[in-house]
Amino acid sequence: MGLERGREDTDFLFLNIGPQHPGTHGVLRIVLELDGEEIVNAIPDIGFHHRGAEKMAERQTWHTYIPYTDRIDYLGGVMNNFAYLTAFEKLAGIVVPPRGQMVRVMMSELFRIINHLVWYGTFAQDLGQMSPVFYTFNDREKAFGIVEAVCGGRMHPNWFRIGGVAQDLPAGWDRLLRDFVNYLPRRLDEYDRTVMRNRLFQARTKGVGSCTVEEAIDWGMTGPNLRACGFEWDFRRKQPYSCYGQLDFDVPTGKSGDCYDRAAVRVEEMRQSLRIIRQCIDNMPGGPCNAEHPLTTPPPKARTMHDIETLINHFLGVSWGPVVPPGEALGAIEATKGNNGYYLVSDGGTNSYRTRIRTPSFAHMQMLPLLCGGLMIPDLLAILGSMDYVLADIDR
Amino acid sequence: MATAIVAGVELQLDLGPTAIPESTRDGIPTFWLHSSEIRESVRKLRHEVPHPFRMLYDLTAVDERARSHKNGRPTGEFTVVYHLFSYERNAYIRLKVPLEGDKLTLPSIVDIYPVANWYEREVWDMFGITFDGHPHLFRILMPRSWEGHPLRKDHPARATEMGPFRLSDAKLDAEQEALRFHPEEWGWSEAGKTRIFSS
Repeated sequence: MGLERGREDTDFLFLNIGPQHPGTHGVLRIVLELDGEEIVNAIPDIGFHHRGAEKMAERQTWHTYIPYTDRIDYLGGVMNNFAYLTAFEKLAGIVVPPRGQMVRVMMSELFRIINHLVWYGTFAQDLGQMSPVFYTFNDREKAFGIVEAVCGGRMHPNWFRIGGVAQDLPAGWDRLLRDFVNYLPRRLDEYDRTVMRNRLFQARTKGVGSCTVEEAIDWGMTGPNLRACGFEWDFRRKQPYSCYGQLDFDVPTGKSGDCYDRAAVRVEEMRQSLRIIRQCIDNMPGGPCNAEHPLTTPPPKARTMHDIETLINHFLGVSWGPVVPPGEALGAIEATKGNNGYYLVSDGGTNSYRTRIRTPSFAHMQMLPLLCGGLMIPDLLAILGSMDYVLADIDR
Repeated sequence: MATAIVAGVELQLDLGPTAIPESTRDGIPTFWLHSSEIRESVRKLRHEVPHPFRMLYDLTAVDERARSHKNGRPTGEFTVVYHLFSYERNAYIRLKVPLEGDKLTLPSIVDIYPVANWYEREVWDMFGITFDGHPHLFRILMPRSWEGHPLRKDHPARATEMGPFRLSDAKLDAEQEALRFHPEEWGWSEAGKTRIFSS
C-alpha cells in the first residue's frame, strides 16, 4: 500500500464504500482517502464473508468436503470441485479415466461461460447499462438448464466425485449442449454491439485501472486479468491437467491491462470455451466415467458379493470414507477467475489435516489500491467490476 | 517428474547445505529451511537464481501439534509454508520453516514480494505467527475483537464448543467501536489533515 502522507494545503476526505454497497458485489468495505474526488489511497477491508472453509475441511471426510468447495467461488460451480479433486487425486494417486476427464472438462467450461455471463452483465450494469444483465442472466439460465439436466443441481451442483463424477451423462446430453453451443455465439455478437462497442462503455473502461505484466506478477495476479496485460499464460495450456492437452483452443490476451482489455479477454474466453465444449461433444470417449481405485467414493462395488475383503473395504469406504496415506499435494487449475489451488495435507486419516485454499480473488483484491490510485470514484467501480471477484472467493 | 528432481538438486545448491529436501506426492521440489535463512533464500529465488521465481503463489501455515505421522520431518509446533512460482521454469517450489511455540515469529518478506502483505496478515490472524518488519500486521479475516487464532488445532471449530453466544449492549458497543477506521494506523495523513466523514 503506497502510504501517501498529507499534501500541502489539502484537506483529505475519508470515505467508506460498503460493506453494503451494490458496486462492491458483496459484503466488502473499501476505505478511501480522497483529495476532492481523486482517490489518494484505498484500503479494502475484507473478512465479512469469512466462513472458515479451511477449518471446516478438518472436520469433514475427504468426500463430504466436496459440497463446501462449491461455495468458495460460488459462480464457478464444479470448477471448485475440479481444483479440490485435482489436489486430492494427486495425493491419493488416482487417475481418472478418459471419459471422466472429458466430462469434467466439458462441464467446467460450461461453468466458465456461466461465470463470465454473470460478470458480463453485472459489469455493464456497474457502468450504467441497465439492459445487458437481463440478457446475460437469461443465457445463464439456459446453461443452468443443462447443468440441471446433467448434474441435478444448478449453482452448486456438488457433482464431481473422487475419481470421476457422480453419474454418467444422461441420454440426450449432446443435443442439449449442441443447441447451447449453436445458440450462444449469436448472443455474444449482440453483446459485442451493445456493450463492447458502446462508446460510453469504452470511455469508462479504456485506459482505466491498467497495470503492467511486472506489476501483475509481483501482486500474484493470474487468469484473465493477467492475460489482459499481454502475458499469454493459461495453466490449461502451460500445465495441462485432465484432458486439456488434447483440446484445441486459443489463449486470448490484451495489451494494456486496463478494464477494457480485461473485459475483451473474458468475452473471447467464452468463445474459446464454446470451442472446447464442441470438441468434447464430438470426441466424447466411451468407457467408464469413474476410476477403479479403492480410495474413490463411492468405492468399486462390482465384486463385493464375491469376496469378503472387497466387501469389508467397500463397507469401510462407504461408512468412514477413504483413508488417505500421510502426505501432501498441491493441485491448481485455471479456474474462472484465475489460478485456484488446494494444498492438502493428510495425516493418514479420514479427513484432511490441513486444507489450504489459494484463491485468485484474494490476490486480485489486494491489488486494488495500486489499480485505482489517482483515479476517480466512478473509475474505482469500473475496476471492481472488471476484476471479476466474489467475496466468498476472497474470504473463504 | 524427472525434471522436478533435477530442478530440485540445482535449487538446493542455491539454498545452501542446511536445506533439507522432502519428497511430496505432487513432485514439487520441497525444502525445509531454518527460520534464520528463509528471508535470504526467498530473496535469492526471487532475484538471483536463473529463471527466477517471480510470483509468490501462496504463503500459509500448518499447526503440527496434533500430527501423529512426523515421518522424520523437522519437528516444530507450527510450519510456515511458502509456495513460489517461476513463469520461466513453469514450476513451483515449496519452502517450509518449522517454528516452536515460544518463538512464533519470522522475518517479513513484504519488501521482496509485495503480495506477501495480506498472506502474512492472514497467517497472523489464523495461527498467531508474527512477521517482523510487516508494515500493518493486523487481523484480516476475523474481527479485531476476536480472541484466539481459528486455524490452531486447539481453537473450537463449532459454535456448540464455544458456549452460548450473548450480545450485551456493552459488547455490541465494543464490536461497533472495533469497526471504526483509524487513518493514523495506516499512515494516512497527519492528525487533523484527514476529515473523518461518517454518516
